[in-house]
Amino acid sequence: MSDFRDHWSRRQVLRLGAAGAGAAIAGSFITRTAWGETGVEGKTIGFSQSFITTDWIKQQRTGVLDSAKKYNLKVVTADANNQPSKQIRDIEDFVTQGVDIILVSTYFAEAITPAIREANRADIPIVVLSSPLVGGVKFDCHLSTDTQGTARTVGEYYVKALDGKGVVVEIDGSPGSVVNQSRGNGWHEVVDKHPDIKVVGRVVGDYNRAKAIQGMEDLLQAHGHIDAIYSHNDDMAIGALKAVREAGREKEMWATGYDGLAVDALEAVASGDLRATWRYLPFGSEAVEVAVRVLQKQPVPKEIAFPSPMITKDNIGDFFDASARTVKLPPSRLTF
Amino acid sequence: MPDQTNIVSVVAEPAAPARTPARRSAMSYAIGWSNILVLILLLVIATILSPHFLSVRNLLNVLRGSSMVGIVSIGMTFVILNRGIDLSVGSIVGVSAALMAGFASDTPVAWILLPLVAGVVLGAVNGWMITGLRLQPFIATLGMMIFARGLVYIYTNGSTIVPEDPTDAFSFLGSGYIGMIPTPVILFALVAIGAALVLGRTIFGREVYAVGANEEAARLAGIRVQRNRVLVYVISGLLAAIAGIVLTSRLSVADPNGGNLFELDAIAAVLIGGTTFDGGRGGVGGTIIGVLILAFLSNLLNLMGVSPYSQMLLKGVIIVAAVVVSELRNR
Repeated sequence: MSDFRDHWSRRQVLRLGAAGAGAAIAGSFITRTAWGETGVEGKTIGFSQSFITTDWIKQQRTGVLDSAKKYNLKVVTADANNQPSKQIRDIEDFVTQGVDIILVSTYFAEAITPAIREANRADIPIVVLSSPLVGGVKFDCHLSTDTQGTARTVGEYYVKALDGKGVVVEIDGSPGSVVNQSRGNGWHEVVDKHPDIKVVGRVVGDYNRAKAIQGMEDLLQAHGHIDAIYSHNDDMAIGALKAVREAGREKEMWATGYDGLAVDALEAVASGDLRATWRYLPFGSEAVEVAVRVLQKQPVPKEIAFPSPMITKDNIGDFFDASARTVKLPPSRLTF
Repeated sequence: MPDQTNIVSVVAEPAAPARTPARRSAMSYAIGWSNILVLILLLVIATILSPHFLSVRNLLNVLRGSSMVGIVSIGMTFVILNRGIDLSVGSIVGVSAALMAGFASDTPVAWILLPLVAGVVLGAVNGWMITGLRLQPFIATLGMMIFARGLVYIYTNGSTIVPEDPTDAFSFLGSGYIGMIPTPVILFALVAIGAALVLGRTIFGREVYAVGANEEAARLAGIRVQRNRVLVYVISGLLAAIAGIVLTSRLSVADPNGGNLFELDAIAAVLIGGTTFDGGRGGVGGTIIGVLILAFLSNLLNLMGVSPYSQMLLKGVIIVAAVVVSELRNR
């Protein structure tokens, strides 16, 4: 954890040119009056999400709602049910209602461009969470996980753990999603430079455990020897490992995942079944803090990218309370 | 009622076209048996192309993997034979899967019975909307698909349910074995045999065909069409619930999106199996073949290392081709 904190601080110093990151105090990001008021109390945030069914996106939602309460902001939420067209209508509705600022969690970043343009025309500030918007539209701040950078780090982990040589299979998420592309491309950028690491098979698991089991069964059947499994999320990694155990080949290979947010995944890391995972941080509270600052007309960085911290058996205690079986969320990291 | 048996046997006839005594060319025989020929061809090609294909483990794995969609497809066969459609099965799988995980620490009676009851109730509501409110099956079950998925999201609060200490009995239905056969495969087989007996050997089964072939004629023959319709959706809901139980037992967790898109796989399997949207034609045997064709195809392509994207091209072509052939057969 401390490792990641240091790393994070360095990044922020670089990005913002701000000094004294080490002495930062939580909350100093927000300007307050002598009475502790921010001057934006009672303003309305429109918060649009593409879907609300994954743990990550739910924690993002919790982060936004809790922080908004803390700053006395009203929140109108909208769930697009996984449909870009619905998300467009949701954002248009926010414009019609005249919200003060829009937070948009972007799973279909390109598809919702028309709605973003409409918000631009109405001069409503926009804070973007997750995938970047297309060029040519205006936004105030883009918060994201540095997915591709993290995937490169994971690639380096594989190269090191395999000592530059081995047989790997890949379990893909949902083709087409930006996260899926970044996790694939970033990892391959690093791993493909090592000709002795052979990625012999790849199946689509759609981020779904049942599909990953089936796909891994086929991969096990097709390949007599596998050293490692590169899975695009934890759920699929757990499914793949189940297939491996059922084939009695658990000593032969190891696997890693991504997200580090589900109880059973963290338990798998704690028990050593899942070698590592990289936590996808939901930055909901950070988004609200950025929103407060935008509403205060204070400058904010255009891009804030959070690297994903690595979770292994050694540091699991920082991310997971095993006895209570609850996920530990790190506090807001906008403490520069 | 002699009338009834007459009409029923007439409309039920096309269910087994290959056995009609009329003179037929070799070609028409080939078309009549096209599905099973495609399956056999696929198995032969797979054996030749991949040295890994023909092993007991691989075959059992594929069967186990396809058993959940398979069980749903059997229910879908009843519905499509009845000239209906059930888009809600995937969501009902989700409801059942979530309930089972939610009651995991309770007695087996609770975690088996509650999901089944939920499946029956939701299926009955489908049936009521279609017969009582006279809605198109497509519309009624589309509504149920959305509604039931909403139930899952509410019940699970949108998160995966992770049962604390699942018992052995809990994981037996999805991950266990009877002898060397995985339990889900046994369940799929039992469901298939039961369905074949019901469709082939009971009055209710014949009525399913009769209503699907010609609702008006069935009504005139004294069949209680409404009741038959409702029961068909109840069966579909019940089998979807069984699939949900197997799914949760297999994964040992319930994902709120569990069973998503099962309806499309099931419809594809039923159509490939030669049951047509016109109703009254086809049967469980064809559906099993349809399920197996889809499962072995994707297994073979994975074993051969075909890119997942290209696999979709082939699956799309096969679904359309299978329906074209079954149209030829029905001419």
